Amino acid sequence: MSISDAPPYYAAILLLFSTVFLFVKEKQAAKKVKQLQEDAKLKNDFMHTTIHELRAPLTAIKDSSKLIVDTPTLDKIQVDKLLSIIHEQSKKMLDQVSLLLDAAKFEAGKFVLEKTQGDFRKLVEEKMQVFIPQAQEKKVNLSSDLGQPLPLATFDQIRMGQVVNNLLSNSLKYTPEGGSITVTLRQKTLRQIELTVADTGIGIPKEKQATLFSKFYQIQGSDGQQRVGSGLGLYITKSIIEAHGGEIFLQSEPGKGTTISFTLPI
Amino acid sequence: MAKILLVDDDQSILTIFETALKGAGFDTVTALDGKSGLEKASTEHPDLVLLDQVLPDMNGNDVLKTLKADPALKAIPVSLLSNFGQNQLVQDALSQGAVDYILKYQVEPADLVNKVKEILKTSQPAPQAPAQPAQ
Repeated sequence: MSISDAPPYYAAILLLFSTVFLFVKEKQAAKKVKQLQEDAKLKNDFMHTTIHELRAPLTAIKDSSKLIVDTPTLDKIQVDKLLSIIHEQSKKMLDQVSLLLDAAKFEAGKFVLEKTQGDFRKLVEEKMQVFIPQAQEKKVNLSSDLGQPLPLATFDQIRMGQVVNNLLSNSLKYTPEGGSITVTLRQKTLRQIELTVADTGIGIPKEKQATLFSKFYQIQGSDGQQRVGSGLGLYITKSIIEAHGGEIFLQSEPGKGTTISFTLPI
Repeated sequence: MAKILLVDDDQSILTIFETALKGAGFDTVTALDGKSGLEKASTEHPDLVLLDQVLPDMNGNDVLKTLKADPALKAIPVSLLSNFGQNQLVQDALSQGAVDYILKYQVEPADLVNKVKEILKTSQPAPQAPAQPAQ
């Protein structure tokens, strides 16, 4: 039986099914296009911010060196300060480049941990020492309760150092003068230790907390336009913790502060 | 000599621009966030505010808006000084009363000093016309 011989309602049913099929396909295609557009926007914003993150230290290096070269009246203290800026900002650029490379490694599934047995408490103490002068300069009270000596843990010393650094650095960045940061280390369970970094900083709005550890998350200015940081730091922090078999937790209230803690198996 | 208030959350930037401005004979005051920038604008009576766009507690355009809404502070010229120069941000700043929008990466320290001199020159109040004798 050809279509022309079929009863008329067959054609109507066929037409109805075709219409529904096309409608569903079109909806799916529209959803896919929207998703691709959102991804493209995120990547574009990310690239824009990354360029900014590299341009800011480069500008500081350019201006510091130019001042040293062009201003013979600078005294030794001023020159030393400008040289320190060149050093710090070069390091900042290197760190940013390292974050980008790490993110690419995670994406490609090529991130490898080099775990050894070590004293996690000692690592935290060492990292805190680095931040004490910065906290003092910013008039932020940095204190710790590292508790009793803990059993040795197996972890990647460099990567876990990076995690502790990143959490302390973020807290210090977003805690204003007069605020405080408290670092607590404890044995949470028989098989887990937990590090907590609590600050009295600006906090994170509730709607942004869910995406805080996403790859392209950036803290937005109140106009929704500006972004601080490439957003890679916390993504990599979470990835390193999870690669160790740990978990990361966040509690935050705008205007009151942020507490981030993570566990590490022992 | 004129007093310049620098508001920027990056201590390195503050040190660089402070060194350049002090070297040119200006007095400088600094603030690391928007709130203390507003406080210093009201207590230090600067002749010019150089304001970063991205601050930890608020953005530069909001600080500008607050300054311009305060009758005691609105006459102080304010220039944005930022690495972020999207059209919308620049337009918003200028429409809210900023005298300039300087892109950090486009100026050398000496250029900034010249810009500051230029802004102070053009922002000075016009001399009062002598009062007409009563007829």
